[in-house]
Amino acid sequence: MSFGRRLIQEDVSFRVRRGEIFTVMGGSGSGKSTLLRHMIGLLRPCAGRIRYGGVDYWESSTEQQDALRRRFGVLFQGGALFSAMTLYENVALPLQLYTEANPVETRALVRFKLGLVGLRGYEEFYPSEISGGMRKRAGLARALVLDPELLFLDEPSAGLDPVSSRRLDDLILQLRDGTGASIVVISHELPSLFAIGDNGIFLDGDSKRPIAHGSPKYLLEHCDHPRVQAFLRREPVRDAGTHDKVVQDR
Amino acid sequence: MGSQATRLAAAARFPPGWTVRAETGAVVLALSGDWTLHSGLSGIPQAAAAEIELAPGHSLRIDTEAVTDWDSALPAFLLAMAERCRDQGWILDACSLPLNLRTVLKMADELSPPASARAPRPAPLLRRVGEHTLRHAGSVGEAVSLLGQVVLACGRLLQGKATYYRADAWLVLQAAGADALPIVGLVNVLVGAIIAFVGSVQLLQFGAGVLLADGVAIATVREMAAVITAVVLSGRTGAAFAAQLATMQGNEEIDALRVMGVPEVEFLVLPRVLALAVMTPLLYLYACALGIFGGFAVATGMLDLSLTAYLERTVGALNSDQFLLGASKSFVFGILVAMCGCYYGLRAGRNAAAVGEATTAAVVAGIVGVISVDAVFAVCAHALGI
Ligand SMILES: Nc1ncnc2c1ncn2[C@@H]1O[C@H](COP(=O)(O)OP(=O)(O)O)[C@@H](O)[C@H]1O
Ligand SMILES: [Mg+2]
Repeated sequence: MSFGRRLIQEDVSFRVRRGEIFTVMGGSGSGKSTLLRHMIGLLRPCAGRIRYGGVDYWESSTEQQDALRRRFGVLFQGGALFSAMTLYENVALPLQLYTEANPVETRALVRFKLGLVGLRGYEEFYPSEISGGMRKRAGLARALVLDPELLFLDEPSAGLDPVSSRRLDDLILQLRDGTGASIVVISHELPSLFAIGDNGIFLDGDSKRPIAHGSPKYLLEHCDHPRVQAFLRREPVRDAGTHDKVVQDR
Repeated sequence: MGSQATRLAAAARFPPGWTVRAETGAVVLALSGDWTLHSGLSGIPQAAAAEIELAPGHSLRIDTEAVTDWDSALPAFLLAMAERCRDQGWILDACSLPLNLRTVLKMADELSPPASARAPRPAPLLRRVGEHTLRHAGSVGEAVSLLGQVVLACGRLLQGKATYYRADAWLVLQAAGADALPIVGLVNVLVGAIIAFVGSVQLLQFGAGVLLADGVAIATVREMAAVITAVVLSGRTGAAFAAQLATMQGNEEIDALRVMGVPEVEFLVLPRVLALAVMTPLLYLYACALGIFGGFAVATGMLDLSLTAYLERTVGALNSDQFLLGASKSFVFGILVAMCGCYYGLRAGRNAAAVGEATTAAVVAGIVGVISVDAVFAVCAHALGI
């Protein structure tokens, strides 16, 4: 993964199984959102392959890519709601585009999805009239509306209060158990990582490669890389890393 | 929910269905088949719901045993049923539902909205008309106040106290001036050529072809160069200002500036207004030269006038007053166009459509303003005998 000649991450290799909650961890700016953009087909990786059930995304035809993408639900980091539409219209859009649901069914489905994320009653609000955390949840409702098989969530709990964040974890687990969907979650929220992560990858911004694979719980107990430990225990990095050395040399 | 493979298939394996049967003190709604988005429910949930007749206080049991496959369509329907039960005073008996269905339903049903969460209903027509009128009346005041703020900011700039960002000011100056050269040049050459062409056809009828140079020179310097340049700048630079400020508004960038204690008029509006105030007269001079050149090109083609003869007549027809008139017009037009762009940009709403509306409003107001002010200038110039 790189932008022009600027390398972001290399040697990234992992597999997400059906019905698994896969967490992408790493410091801010380490390339998590970029990895997500590669996974959902917005950015072509400069080397390597991305396969969905054996189908190579970038090698397939445009129609195949469209069909694959229709099975994704994506929550972007900023919510990415359409600002000129109300929450109702935002969530209803995928239904109107890709299903034959009649207006009454659409209405029932939208109310159900908004209810799932705790936003019932906010149908007629515009994105600029609600808070950042609510925008995030509305974005999640839109991502969920077609019952995707693969759900990508970029920092879903950023901007949420602890109670809503906990509720969101329950919702994610419920979705996985109910629909058998695979869910890729980018998160910094430690309690939530430990609560939901079945598997994961840790991207390191300094060495520009993943430095650990495994579920957050497993990594906490078995990975002794100082930066992973610092991240998962919320402590300062305890090693003579490059930065400290520079200071000592002086 | 059922297997993914069946859900993706366009045709359902078991068509969805329903039956209602009465038991003692309760009604059972039994659902069967595939209740999925792609199974062609078309209207079934409403039909099923309409069939139910119950006395208040009685319970409705929903039986999903015969459902072969379901996705969100089923809980969405059940949620709507739950709401209906509440409205009618029925008791929804959810015990017979599978556990996971019950959990999703509970999640979707909790956190009922606070009463204040409902958006306001649209106001009656008369009231909307009134509010619209008042808003328009108010916006005149706002525009005048923005002009006043710009003048005050100008004063602070002269005292060296204004806060602005030099790099941004340079960029604006460049975008408004140098970057506009090609398009302003092209349009003015064409306008000069058109005047010459139309003029030559008329003048040749009287055998007065030599007067063509006078006509082109006066039309270009007094009117066309200034007006055409201002119109092009309105569509190009004024629109860019409006879009830029409206986008900043949407990103909360302008709020951030205010919180930092930076007056947005000094930081954003002043550099833009000054840039166009300086650049439009310069572009006007450039436009005059190219307009006259365009006229000359056509004149040599149609009348075979020589360059010297053409230039001689041109210089004879013009005087410094005319250039002064055109340049001062351009100065005013520049300020007007920049003010329109900034004004509509700053008062834009906070969504993507608002950016488009702001840009349209800025361009329309800019062009109408330029033509109207030009008419005022024409009357004044006549009165002054220029
Ligand atoms: N469109 C872009 N062009 C160039 N560099 C980018 C772009 N988007 C992100 N980057 C760079 O990629 C790195 C990783 O960004 P990102 O994936 O957003 O980080 P995060 O892990 O916080 O989500 C950052 O250093 C950022 O500067
Ligand atoms: Mg990110």
